[in-house]
Amino acid sequence: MIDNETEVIANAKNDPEAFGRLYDEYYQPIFGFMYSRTHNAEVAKDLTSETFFQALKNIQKYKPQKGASFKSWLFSISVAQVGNYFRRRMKMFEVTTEEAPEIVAHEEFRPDIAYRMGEDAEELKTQIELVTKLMKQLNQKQQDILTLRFFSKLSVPEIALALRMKEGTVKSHIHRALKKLQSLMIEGQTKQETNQTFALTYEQHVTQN
Amino acid sequence: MNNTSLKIEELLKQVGDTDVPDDVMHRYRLRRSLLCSSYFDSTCERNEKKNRFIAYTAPLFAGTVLVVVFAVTGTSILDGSAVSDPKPTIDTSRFVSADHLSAITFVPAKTASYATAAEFIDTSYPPIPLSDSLRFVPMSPTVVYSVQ
Repeated sequence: MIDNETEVIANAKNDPEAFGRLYDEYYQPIFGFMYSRTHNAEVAKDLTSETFFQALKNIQKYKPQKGASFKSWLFSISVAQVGNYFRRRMKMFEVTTEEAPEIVAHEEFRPDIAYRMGEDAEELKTQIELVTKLMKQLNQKQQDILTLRFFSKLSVPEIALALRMKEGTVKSHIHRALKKLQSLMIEGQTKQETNQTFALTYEQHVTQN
Repeated sequence: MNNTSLKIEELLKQVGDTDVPDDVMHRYRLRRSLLCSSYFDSTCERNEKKNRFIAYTAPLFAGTVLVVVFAVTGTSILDGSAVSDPKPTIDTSRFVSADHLSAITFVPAKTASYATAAEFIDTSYPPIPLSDSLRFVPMSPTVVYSVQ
């Protein structure tokens, strides 16, 4: 957070330099959120641009309140932009990553994380890929909340302000989303294991014949 | 169960920790387009106009007011009407209209004729002697007892 942020925000209404300071501070978190939600760098860039243009357009209306940070306000614009994007996309022809895997590179895997968690690198890679894939099966609100909480590292009160919800509602959404993700993970892992067993049996059968 | 959910949270955190691709060119272009946008031009222009208005109009207005005040005071002193007596107020309720005047009939005044004093003496009552009405009223009761 910037020192004397309230003053900077007040100046940002008229002074481009002050707005530039806010932009430098929040560009990366906003872009990170957009990228986590869309898994597409180009779309994330567009949505980030739109978010900052909307912020500039509406900064005159922003009034700093007790407990309501500029960060929450900015994230509320981002969430709205993501919602608009998914609504627009539903009307368009969609190419999934399964259909064209070369479009999105799998950059989620990091071997250092596997070392920290004390697990097999290969197993962790599979799990991360599975979580990322299963996240898309949650509803938009749950995806927004989990992304804000675990990827953008926002606190529960900050998420509540950004989404205009009560803190209790946010907590229950997180709880329900994690529970659903967990059950989907178990299902996914069982399917993977069955597939692996089937593949092994099939290979053995082929080699025997 | 709880352990699994913790594991999922940990997994999500790890996914969140992955490096997000950073496009420096996009960052720079967006910054430039934001800071050079017409929004700041319009606000700067608006502010400039506002400042110009305050800088020129306010003293001009104050000066005009001062001149008017001096002019009014000067003219009133020259006319001598600066310290004027209060105008007498007319109470219209005391006015008599012309209709009322026509309704009044004027009677010529009579001069009184003085009759003789004998006309005013009532002879129906007998004359009362003054000595009957005078009695001795003692001032102190002790005196009365002593007399008895």
